[in-house]
Amino acid sequence: MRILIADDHELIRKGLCFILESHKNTEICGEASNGQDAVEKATELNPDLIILDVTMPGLDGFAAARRIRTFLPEVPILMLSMHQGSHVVKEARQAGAQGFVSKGDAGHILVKAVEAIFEGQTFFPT
Amino acid sequence: MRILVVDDHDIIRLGLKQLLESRSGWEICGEAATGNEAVMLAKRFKPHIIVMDIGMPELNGIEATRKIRELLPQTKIVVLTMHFSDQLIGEIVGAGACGYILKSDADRELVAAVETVASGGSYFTPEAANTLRGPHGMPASSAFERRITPREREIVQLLAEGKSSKDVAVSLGISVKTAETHRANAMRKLELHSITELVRYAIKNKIVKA
Repeated sequence: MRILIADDHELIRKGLCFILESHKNTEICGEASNGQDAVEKATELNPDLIILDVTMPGLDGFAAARRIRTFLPEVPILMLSMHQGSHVVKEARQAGAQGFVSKGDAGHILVKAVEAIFEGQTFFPT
Repeated sequence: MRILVVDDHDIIRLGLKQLLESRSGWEICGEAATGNEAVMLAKRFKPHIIVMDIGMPELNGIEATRKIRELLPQTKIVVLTMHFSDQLIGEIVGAGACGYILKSDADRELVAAVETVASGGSYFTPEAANTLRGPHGMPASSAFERRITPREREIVQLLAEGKSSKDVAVSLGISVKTAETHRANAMRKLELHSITELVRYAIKNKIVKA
């Protein structure tokens, strides 16, 4: 499973890479540091999953998700955010994401979220 | 060199570990997710360096820094924050931190910051260094730091996080009456007249996250 990760903080991308690459059958095929970069890399790499931070400079994660859905409708998107209010989760759904994880929980539920999405399920906080 | 990593987000602690453990001879001796845990693990492991987030529940990084520096004056602390705040710089330095960098710059600056601080120097981002000098080249300090005591600062944070005076008393191991006295003193000194004003003040001064 090839995963593209997009977050403007390299510290967080390092943490995500560490968690995901220690999971079998998972490979980080690319990294992006802003929404525009995420859209371009998604087009170039055609990953199996995209993990998108919500708050990024220029094009934010929601706008990037909407653009990516138009030309890669089959690629699932998992949104990531520091905030976990219901309005943020709602906006993630409306942008076409299949899941949402708060960064505060990412360390212990990210793999579960990725596995659920790969099995065709959605993964949103209750 | 033993390094303790402190951040309430485990994904960031993982990123910090990846960055720091790549250096030969550097060992992450522990991880903490709150200021209280940081103090406890600092006492246990006596790290050479602590990399400390500011915004954490119960006890923020500034107060944890202050406590640890009193207990372990040889331990050096590098503070990490998500956003630059000139209001907090004076408090961070006053608490005893030797370094300050933004999380967004950590991949480029954290190793250099730790190396500098470990060898006895201080490491601040350029904006922080300018703020510390102040407009007339004199060291700056914050009104918050000057006006209330460390205990009162702790209580302001806990109250702003939604705890009652009773919860505050239990958290700090003091009587409810003492907690209420500290609360009243802090609010009087800061000229706050309600909990709503206190919360607003705490958010504005980044004592708690919005």
